[in-house]
Amino acid sequence: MAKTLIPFGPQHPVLPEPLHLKLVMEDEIVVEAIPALGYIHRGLEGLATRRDFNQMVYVVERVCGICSCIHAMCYCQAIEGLMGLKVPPRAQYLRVIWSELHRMHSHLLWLGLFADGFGFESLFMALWRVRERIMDINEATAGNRVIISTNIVGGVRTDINTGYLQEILRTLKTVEAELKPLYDTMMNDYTVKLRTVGKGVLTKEQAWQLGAGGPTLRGSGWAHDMRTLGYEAFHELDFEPVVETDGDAYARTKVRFREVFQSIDLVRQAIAKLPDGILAVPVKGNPTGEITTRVEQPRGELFYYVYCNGTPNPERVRIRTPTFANIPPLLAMLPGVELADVPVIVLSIDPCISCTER
Amino acid sequence: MLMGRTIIKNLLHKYATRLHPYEQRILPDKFRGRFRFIIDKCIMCRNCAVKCPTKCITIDPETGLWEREVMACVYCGVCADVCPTGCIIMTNVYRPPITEPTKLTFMCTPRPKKKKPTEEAQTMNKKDVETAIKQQQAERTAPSLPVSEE
Repeated sequence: MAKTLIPFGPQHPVLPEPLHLKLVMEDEIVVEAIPALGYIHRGLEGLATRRDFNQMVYVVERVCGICSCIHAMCYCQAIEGLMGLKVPPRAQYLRVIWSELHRMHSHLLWLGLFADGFGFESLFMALWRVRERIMDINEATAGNRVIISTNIVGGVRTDINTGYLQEILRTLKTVEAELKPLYDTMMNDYTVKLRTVGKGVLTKEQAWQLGAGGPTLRGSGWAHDMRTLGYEAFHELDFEPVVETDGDAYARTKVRFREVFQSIDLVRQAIAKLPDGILAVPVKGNPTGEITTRVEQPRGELFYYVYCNGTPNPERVRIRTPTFANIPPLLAMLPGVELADVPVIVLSIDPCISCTER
Repeated sequence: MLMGRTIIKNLLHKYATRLHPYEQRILPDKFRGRFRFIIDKCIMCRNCAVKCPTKCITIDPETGLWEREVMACVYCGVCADVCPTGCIIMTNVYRPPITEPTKLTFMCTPRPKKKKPTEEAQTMNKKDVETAIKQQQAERTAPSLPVSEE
């Protein structure tokens, strides 16, 4: 049988961002997938060398449009580590609250897009309606829906008052009540199962060898979550990494949906333990030395390497994003599947190409 | 049976969406919307221009020019935070879209820098100045290295 080459992307109805895959097909079956990246490279790492380390917080926030708060948090942790700053406890807890709200709205966005990917549009709309509630919390507490700009080197910029904390708890109660029937639909519906169960299987050994991260790795049976390192206030909160063992698209969906409930629980714990105190410590001088930090993004492990030479501008900022780690596992999932299943499998790693190309 | 229940539920409950033109959304107080400038309060300290991550504010204390590139602004609100006199205020009114690069220009009271005499100039007497000028002139007129012209 002669092989044909079918281009998938960069413009495709299911892809929110430009990822190009050359699919080598034999009849209806994919034999090989060749990726092509670089459609939205913006040179933000180069910009870091021309900006002040305080201004750079707002630039790294714009690396990703969905998990902006977590990018800024990881960068701030790096600079704080270089300068020996100790973030006040209240700021640590507020960072946890905002990062978990971001994880929730990112997962809900993905679950909606995934439902849209296999043609379940009403589920997509129902999930995004729930997501709006989380966005409203962000808007009321920080001033913007996604790019919240609350992290600064040494702490946070704004506070959440006690009255609004109760409002957050009330909203989370509604969100949880609204999500439970949607969880049943997503996980137990016959048609959804037909499109997801057994599609894009990544075995436990493959996931580790190819260096997958985040829900892609946890869906294959590894309890690997960067939050267990205990950065910010996570060492004082009680949680377990969500793990599924099947390694298919269904398992990854389940991991993400269960993580939404886990995030709701973490925000509740953080609000219950929120201490009083100052929001930020003053920053004096310029950072010197090199450091690496890693945090857990909604898509997986985010890694920052920062090298500063005592001037206000960092010498080098290297960002390794989770989607970059998840592309080799994606290429291992694709051979052997039918062409119609490719969109669902590509979406199942939650690709964020803007993150990857920076 | 299941469908009947859904139909009745949908007939009885409220709208799922807001009836937009008639019902406006109330924006929260903290919303980072349009800027309001009380430019008479500006003391030309250049704090906002230095802290701005996109460098969209240009200030010239000599002429009193205060300029903001509206399209480059990312509405992070740092300038409003660092302004010592409160002349930049972020309101919670939704900002309208911009279609072409525009510049917002204000003219404030200029605050030229006071030029302090340097220590060298203070200690130098008139004769020294004269000899220094002569030296400079001699250097300028001295034959320089041959320059190749293409």
